[in-house]
Amino acid sequence: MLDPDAELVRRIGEGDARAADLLVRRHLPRMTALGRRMLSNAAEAEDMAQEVFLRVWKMAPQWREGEAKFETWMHRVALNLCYDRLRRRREVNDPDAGMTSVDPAQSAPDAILARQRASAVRTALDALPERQRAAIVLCHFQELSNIDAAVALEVSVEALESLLARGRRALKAALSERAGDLMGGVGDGAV
Amino acid sequence: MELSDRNSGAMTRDRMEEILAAYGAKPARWPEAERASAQTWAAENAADFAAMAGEAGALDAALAFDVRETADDEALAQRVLATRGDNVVAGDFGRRRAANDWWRPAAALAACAVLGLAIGFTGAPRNDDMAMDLDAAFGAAFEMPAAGFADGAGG
Repeated sequence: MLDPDAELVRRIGEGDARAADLLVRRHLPRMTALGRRMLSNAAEAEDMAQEVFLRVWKMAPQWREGEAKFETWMHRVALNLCYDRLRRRREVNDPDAGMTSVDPAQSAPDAILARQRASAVRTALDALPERQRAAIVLCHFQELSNIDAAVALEVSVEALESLLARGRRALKAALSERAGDLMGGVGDGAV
Repeated sequence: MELSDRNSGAMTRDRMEEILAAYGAKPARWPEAERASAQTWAAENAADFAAMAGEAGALDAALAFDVRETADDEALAQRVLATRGDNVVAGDFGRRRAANDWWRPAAALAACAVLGLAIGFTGAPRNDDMAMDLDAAFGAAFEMPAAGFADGAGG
């Protein structure tokens, strides 16, 4: 299996600063995006992403190219870190931990509408059970293959599809109140 | 329920429904092994597919409203790179000077930690940070140090 990151990881393991820079530019936005969708908190997402790369620096010297892709491993690390943070929130019963600040830059009517739509989707995503949310974040937003997503989630592909189907059903139900605005007249498929 | 024989590449209506329910209407998100047969089925059963895919496509479009780009990736990238431990100067991309062999002590310590945790990583408690990342799926992807590290390596 061709791993697009294998060469960079090898060079990072040898102390190559330029390779580290390239890997960060390639994956940091994806790690923070994953964190934002799982944690609904930009600051926590950034902290989580930094922790992922701390693991990357630590483990790169030992990485051996083979069956698993490095990016899949990074997603596994990121998800586990997210689960940790979500568990800690529950333990301290922090109702505001997941609040995402509103972007003050958007004030035009179209921007307000976009923000409202985004807020509705985020609320629906946040309401999903963690595993369903993770499955949808990995497959829909991160666009991992089904096999890579299943590995990152530590489930079979069949179990992944079950999580995805249930998650998507729940999202559809949650967004149905705004169906005319969010989902109506969109079209009949994307083939 | 009629299921496709995924190995033979034959797509069925029931499997098409499952794919749409799980992955949505965008073929790029469909399982790679079944994508071609699914697209063929969709093309050969266009009206049926359109009826089936409508809701999936609508949900895909709704999810697209959720845009979460990071506002200041550059600053975060610099903070992340600074954690490598080499001599990084903020804003000094392209002119960074890597410390000589800075990573060797860190790698040795990491290897000790990996081995110390990996010995028990199968079935280790979920709050064991490194063990969570190094289960059977990835354990083979990281080289284990020589046996001399085994005793007293700790974590």
